[in-house]
Amino acid sequence: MNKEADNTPLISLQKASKSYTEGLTVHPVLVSIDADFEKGECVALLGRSGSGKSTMLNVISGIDKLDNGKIIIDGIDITNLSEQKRTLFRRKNIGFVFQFFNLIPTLTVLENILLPLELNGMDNKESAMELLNEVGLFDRKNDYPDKLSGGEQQRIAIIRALVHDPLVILADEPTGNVDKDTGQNILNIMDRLIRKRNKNLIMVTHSKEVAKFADRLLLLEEGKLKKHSKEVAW
Amino acid sequence: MVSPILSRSIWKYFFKHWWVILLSIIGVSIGVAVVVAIDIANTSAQKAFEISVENVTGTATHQITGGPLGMDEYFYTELIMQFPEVEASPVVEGYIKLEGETIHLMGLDIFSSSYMTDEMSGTFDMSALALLVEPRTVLIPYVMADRMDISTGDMITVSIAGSQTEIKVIGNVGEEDDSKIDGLLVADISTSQELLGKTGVIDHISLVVAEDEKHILTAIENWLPVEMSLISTVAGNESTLNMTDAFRTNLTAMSMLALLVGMFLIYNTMTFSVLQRRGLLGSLRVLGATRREIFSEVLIEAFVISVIGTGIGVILGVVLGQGLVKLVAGTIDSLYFTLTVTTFEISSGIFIKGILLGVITSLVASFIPAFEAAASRPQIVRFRSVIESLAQKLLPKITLAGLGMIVISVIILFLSSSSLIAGFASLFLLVIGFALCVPMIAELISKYLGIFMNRVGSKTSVLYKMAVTGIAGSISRTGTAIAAMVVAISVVIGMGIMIDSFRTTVQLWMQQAIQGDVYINTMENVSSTAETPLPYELVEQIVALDGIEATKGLKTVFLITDYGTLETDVITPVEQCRTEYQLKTGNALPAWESLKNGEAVYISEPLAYKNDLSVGDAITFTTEQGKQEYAISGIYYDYSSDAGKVIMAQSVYIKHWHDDTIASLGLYLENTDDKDAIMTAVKAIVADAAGITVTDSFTIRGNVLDLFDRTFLITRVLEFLAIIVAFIGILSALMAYQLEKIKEIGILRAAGVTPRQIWGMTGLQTGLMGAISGILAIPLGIFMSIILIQTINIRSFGWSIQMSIGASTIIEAMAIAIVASLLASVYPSWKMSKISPAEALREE
Repeated sequence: MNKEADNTPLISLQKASKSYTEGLTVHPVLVSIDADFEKGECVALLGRSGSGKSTMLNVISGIDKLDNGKIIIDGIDITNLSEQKRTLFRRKNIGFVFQFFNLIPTLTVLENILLPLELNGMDNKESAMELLNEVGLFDRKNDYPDKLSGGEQQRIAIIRALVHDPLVILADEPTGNVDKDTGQNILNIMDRLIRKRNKNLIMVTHSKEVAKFADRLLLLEEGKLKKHSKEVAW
Repeated sequence: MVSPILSRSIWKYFFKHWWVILLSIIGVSIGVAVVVAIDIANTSAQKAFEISVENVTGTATHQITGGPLGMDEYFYTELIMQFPEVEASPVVEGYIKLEGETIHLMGLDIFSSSYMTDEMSGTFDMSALALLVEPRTVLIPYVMADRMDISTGDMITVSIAGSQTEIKVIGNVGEEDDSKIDGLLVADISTSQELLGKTGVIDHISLVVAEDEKHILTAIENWLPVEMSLISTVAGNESTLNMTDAFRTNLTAMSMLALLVGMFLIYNTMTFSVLQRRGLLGSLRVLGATRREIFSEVLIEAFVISVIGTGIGVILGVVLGQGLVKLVAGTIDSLYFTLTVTTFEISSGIFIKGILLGVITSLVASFIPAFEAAASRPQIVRFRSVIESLAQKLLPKITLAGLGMIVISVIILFLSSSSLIAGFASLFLLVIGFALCVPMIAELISKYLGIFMNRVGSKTSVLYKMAVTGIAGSISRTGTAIAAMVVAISVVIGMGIMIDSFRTTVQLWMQQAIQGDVYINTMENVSSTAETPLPYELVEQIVALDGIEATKGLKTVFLITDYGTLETDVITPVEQCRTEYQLKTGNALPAWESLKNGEAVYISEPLAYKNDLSVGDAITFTTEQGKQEYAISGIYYDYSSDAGKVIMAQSVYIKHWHDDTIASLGLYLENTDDKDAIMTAVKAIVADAAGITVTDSFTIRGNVLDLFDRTFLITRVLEFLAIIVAFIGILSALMAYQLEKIKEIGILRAAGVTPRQIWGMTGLQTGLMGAISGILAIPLGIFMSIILIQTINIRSFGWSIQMSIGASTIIEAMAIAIVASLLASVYPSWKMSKISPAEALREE
């Protein structure tokens, strides 16, 4: 991976466009978006349902391909990488936190956390254990996800997203499935584990608390990205 | 190398859904068991066949044969005087019964080596010399003596042409543990002549001629009288052994059909296991699992399942094979050649073939599910509807591919004139092509049924409408399940129609072919070239009885022709028997007149097909007057043998072979009400003669049909196994589908739907899927039977069979489909009715 000067954005979207076709109708979702994300930045992505927020996370993570434009992450243009290479890039450099946790039900808590390490050929069980300890779930390491509460599952999901030391964490409504207090707890953990380690965090949210947590807000509206003031009433 | 945790995450699915593996294993194991069992049965029966044939020819390279009644024994003396350098051995042989078993009695010149099989040569002990001195003595193979508990010195009672007689065992022959000559008794030539009623006659002379002595063969051939033939035993044996090729190929193909059904079962269960794990696989893809890694994992799963299933299948196959050997050997014995040994051959080749077939079939069946798993989209949000929209998009393409395969199948069928392999290739393409079209048809039925229900249903039918339209709504799952069921049931229908059609054709043929009222026959044939004759005096007495309008004499002999040795029915062509030979080709009355006048012969349909013969062609017979050519005036339907037959007037036979005996006498009565009285009179006439039966036409027809049923028992067994696989396939497909809907049902339960209504919905949906499968299987099954009957049967055996689609076959298949599908709804309904809505709604 090529390292350029420190003031180069970590993630850069250049004229990024993406649309979906249903039958004969083409739905533009992202329309010629230009956006830069600085290193260590925490950005919240707002927008109505169906505005394309998840699509934006998809294209940044390489799950989906742009129709036009470019995405450059840490100096690498991922736009034209093959599906295999995008998968490997995502494996190494991206971590995910989902609204519905998406822990692997057939793996224990510890195995869920170790999975990204193993996929990347990293032998760092100790860091996994430390992280588990940090979130207070060391004793639950041999339990299966269905035995955990929503908040506990989300904590595990956050560790899983981090454990392999990715460049970027993408979070889709990370507090969307828990109560307010648990949500706040999760934000505190994210702050401790992600922001303080200077990792980039892009979050999709409808939540005021999550929006306030971010350094910057972006609003996705009719396929276009706009800055959004943190002070505007919800 | 794939990450162990990644592997575990995918594999652990089966801990909770153990029945998926179980059903896949059952599918593989039954399919493999059938293939292995048929392979064992075919190989064993063929080995027995080879041994039985070899027991006739021994190590001889050539044979000199005369007509059906053999040759004068002095001819042998003339031969060895003319050609002293040739290794020649006279042979008198025939078949006798010992304790109900058919035994080959071989009369030899024990000092001549030219007959000996490898197993027998050099193993005679000194007691063999007693064969020359003591009359009515035999040598018995060690294995046979052990098996039948017969010791040297024992007197044994044998039945020869129905007469009981005693002979003495004076020693053993062969190696102690050699089973290849089981079923053989060796005697001196004169003993054999006496026992078999062939005094002064020998059946053939065996020659051993080395490769560098071929000039001697030419000299012998030039020297032989016109009525004798010199034939190569290798070519002759090969021709004989090839007789069963088509029969065995058909059995193998039928077993492959069972494996094909098993393949669909595996495909179905693997597809469901992949579909159930779509969410899991999507999450793993998001986390960075590559397509290749997921593809490998699913294929490894399939490999492990296939290894377990194949292992069980091979063991089951060996067990099943033991039963099938008897059936297949029995069929070969009935239809082709008298078998004197039974063997059970299990070679490593059979195991390797079974294992490879099981594993490769499973991997092939799992390829598409593995590909689908690898194609799982990484999803941040999982939409069930996305899967179904994709399925909807692919459906027209899949249907088109299916139609394409059907078209190719038809083209292959029309372009390949006589290839059996092409016939089967066409059959398999038809089945797979049709299966690909099924999901679209099922979707349309579901949708239109839903529209219909919308128009006619009341409020309470909303749930049932959901059940009906749910089939179209989940076509990615239901389509696969229904397609698998259609294939399974169509095989049942196709095979059932084929067997029933054949039986009906034989039944109708029997009505026509046996028109006499009473039949007198010799029971046991001693010779392999001519039937045992009825005594003249008895025939005269019977013919003189009052009330008989006409009599037909018949004797079956084996004559040497330019088309090889052919089974020939020599008949006294009375007018009453003319219509017994229904002509496929040939002008009925002129053809009969030609036959009657000794100008022409009839040939059977299989003989005509296999040798590409038509009316107007000729057959050349090797007779006592040299080569004699007779035109073919008619080709007749005959289902008694697929090797082919000739019908010849007795006048022709007497003219060329000087034999006016008959082995069977048919009586055509003036008044059929007199039948019982005439049968009683005939039985009185033959009472003191051994080995003669008196039966009426009704009994004969029944016996023929019994033989048919026994012969086709093996096909019925395969049909039954196909039914089992079909049943399990339907159960697995529908259970998997219903269990996958637990969350949807949870939502309904939460909304207030009662368990009873859940039972109703589930039963309706699975029952409807079963009914759709059954209905769609009917045309496929019929097309399948058309190919089996019109193409494969003809190309294999040369028989035309009239299609007969019995309602019972269709009803049986529909019953299987609906009963299995309703049964399949029981467990899911029970499970879903027990589960609390909250539990069902929880994320797993």
